[in-house]
Amino acid sequence: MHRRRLSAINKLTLEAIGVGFLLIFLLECFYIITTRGISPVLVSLDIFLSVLVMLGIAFYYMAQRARMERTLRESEEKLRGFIESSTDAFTLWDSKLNLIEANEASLKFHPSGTKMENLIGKNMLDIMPDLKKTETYDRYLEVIKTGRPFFINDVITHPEFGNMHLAVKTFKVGDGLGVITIDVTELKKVEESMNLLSAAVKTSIDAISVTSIGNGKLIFCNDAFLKQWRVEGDFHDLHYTDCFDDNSGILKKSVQSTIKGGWTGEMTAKAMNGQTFPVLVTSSPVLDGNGKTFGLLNIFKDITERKKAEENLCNTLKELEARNKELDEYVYMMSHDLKTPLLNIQGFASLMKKKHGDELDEKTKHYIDTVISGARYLDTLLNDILALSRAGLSKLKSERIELLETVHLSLKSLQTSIAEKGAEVLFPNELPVVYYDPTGLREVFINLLSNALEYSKQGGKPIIEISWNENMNENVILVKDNGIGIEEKYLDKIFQPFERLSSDENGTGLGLSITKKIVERHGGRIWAESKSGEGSAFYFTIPKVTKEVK
Amino acid sequence: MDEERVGEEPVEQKSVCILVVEDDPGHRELISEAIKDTEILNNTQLVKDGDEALHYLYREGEYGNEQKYPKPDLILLDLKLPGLNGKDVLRKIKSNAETRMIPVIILTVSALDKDIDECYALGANGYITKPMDFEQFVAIVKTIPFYWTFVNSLPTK
Repeated sequence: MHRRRLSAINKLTLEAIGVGFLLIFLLECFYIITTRGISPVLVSLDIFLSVLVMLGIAFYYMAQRARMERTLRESEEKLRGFIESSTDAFTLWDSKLNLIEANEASLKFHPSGTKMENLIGKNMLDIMPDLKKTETYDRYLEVIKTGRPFFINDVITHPEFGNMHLAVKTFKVGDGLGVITIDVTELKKVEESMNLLSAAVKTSIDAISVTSIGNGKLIFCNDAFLKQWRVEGDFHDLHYTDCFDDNSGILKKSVQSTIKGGWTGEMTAKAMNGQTFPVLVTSSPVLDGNGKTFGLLNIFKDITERKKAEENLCNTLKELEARNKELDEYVYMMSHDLKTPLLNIQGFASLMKKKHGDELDEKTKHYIDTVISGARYLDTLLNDILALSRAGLSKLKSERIELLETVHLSLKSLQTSIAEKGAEVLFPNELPVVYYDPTGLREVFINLLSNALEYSKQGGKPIIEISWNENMNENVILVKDNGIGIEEKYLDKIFQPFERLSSDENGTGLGLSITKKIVERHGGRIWAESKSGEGSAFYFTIPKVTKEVK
Repeated sequence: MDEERVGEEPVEQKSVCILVVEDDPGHRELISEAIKDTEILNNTQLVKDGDEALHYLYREGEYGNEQKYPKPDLILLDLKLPGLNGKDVLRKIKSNAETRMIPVIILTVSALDKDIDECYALGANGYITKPMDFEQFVAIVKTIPFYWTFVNSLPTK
């Protein structure tokens, strides 16, 4: 700018001098015409000005030239600097493909430590021997021959960095060759991962869409979305709200939540043919470079099948519940109907013995006793069937219970048979507090204890031990006896209804089934360890919960 | 037998009328046997179902004779009855001004919580599950009139 003004001043000076020269020349012409003589002063002034003009012109052109040279040098330096500092490789080859010049960046395609002076002047094939077999080398020769530039993507194997992806631009420079080589390995990697990502999104089974926040229209959607929503034609015309059957206002809520950070929930999708289907939606905001939300990314999972399955399960459960209730009622009716004649059998047999006992012989009395005890057994059995059915069907309470108290109560109701057997029951001073159905828990203890009493050894003193252990999630209760034990092959069978291991007429074979049902309904497990003749150990677990349900 | 007793008991001992509603003939007999065992002077009336019970209580048909069929002081009611069931009968008794003061004791084989609660809600005065053992049965049934007519004071009307 400064230089340009200088030259402008020079030009102006020259023009002023030129105009002066012209004025004096005209003045002289006027003088010659009027005086018919020559003024020596004017002529010498004229000559002086002519010399001045010529000198000025010479000086002007010299300055111009010097300036041009300087500009050229400067721009050459700039170009060189640009080429040197470029991360792309610039190489210049002569017509024989010997390297004339190369920038620093071109060294990165050679083993590290390669010096520039070792490369300059060498032939391309000496520098890169592998090149001869390739198409690229032929193309270089072609450029030199035809002068047509070409662009090629190439892969070379660097001894240290492995495969490098290159973009190579080649053009004719003079009668030689200029080559610009760009390392696109990183770009290629990004491109590959982008391709992978795009393929994954495209082929995803879940429908994926991106909606613009600006106008609510779809910016992108994948194949699954098109298929599930039955979109024909351009999806760009679709408005997000057209894709749902929204009566509850959940759509608006979901969009608001998504903008704030994200949203997951169920919605009813509406396909273009009007068909609706349930979807599980995961929405997240899509941010632009400045961190501003410009769209919503939605991933949809078609949950029609799941919903159907849920509905089926729900129906099945309802049906099962109804069936169970039916069964409960059936058992109740049955027990009522069976108990009515039972009382008659027992009652009248007893009356017969009471009123006419004197007239009967011993044998007949024995017959009557058998009738009575048979009826009594049938009654126990009916009660147990009722208990088993109720253990599985009645509503469970969950109350805070001192286990020690339950043990005391159970022993109290068994005191007669404990005394009869002369048994000793040992239990610790401290037992945990649990949450359980009080009646159920008592039944579990009574069943396990009476089982231990029932299967005690003939003649020996039955000793029953109750103990307790705990782990992270549950209390484990152990009821151990020194009775006749159970053969290992029967251990699986004992919890099955009507499985009896002895012919004792008091047992119905339902006690352990009832116990198992109660324990399992409280979320616990029950099992036995035993060996024939060596006593049995019954374990059951009580989950550690602290919730009361009344 | 009752007449014999009338002479033996002190004059102020009034005979108690107990209405037993029981469909099973055997049970009817066993109940009356058990009541006979009590020391309480009683006039036990046996009916076989709900309809008959209501006929008795409201003096319909053959039960018109108040002398022969007096208003009961205590009702023992079975739940499972043919036709009109025990709960229906209970509801009728307890919703009628004439009969609602009479204590009704449910005597049944059912021990279901549902039945027990429903009966009390309908106004039952007691609920007893029939023991299946005859000795126990007699022992328990005997206590019913003993408690309700001897220990307890019955309504005067």
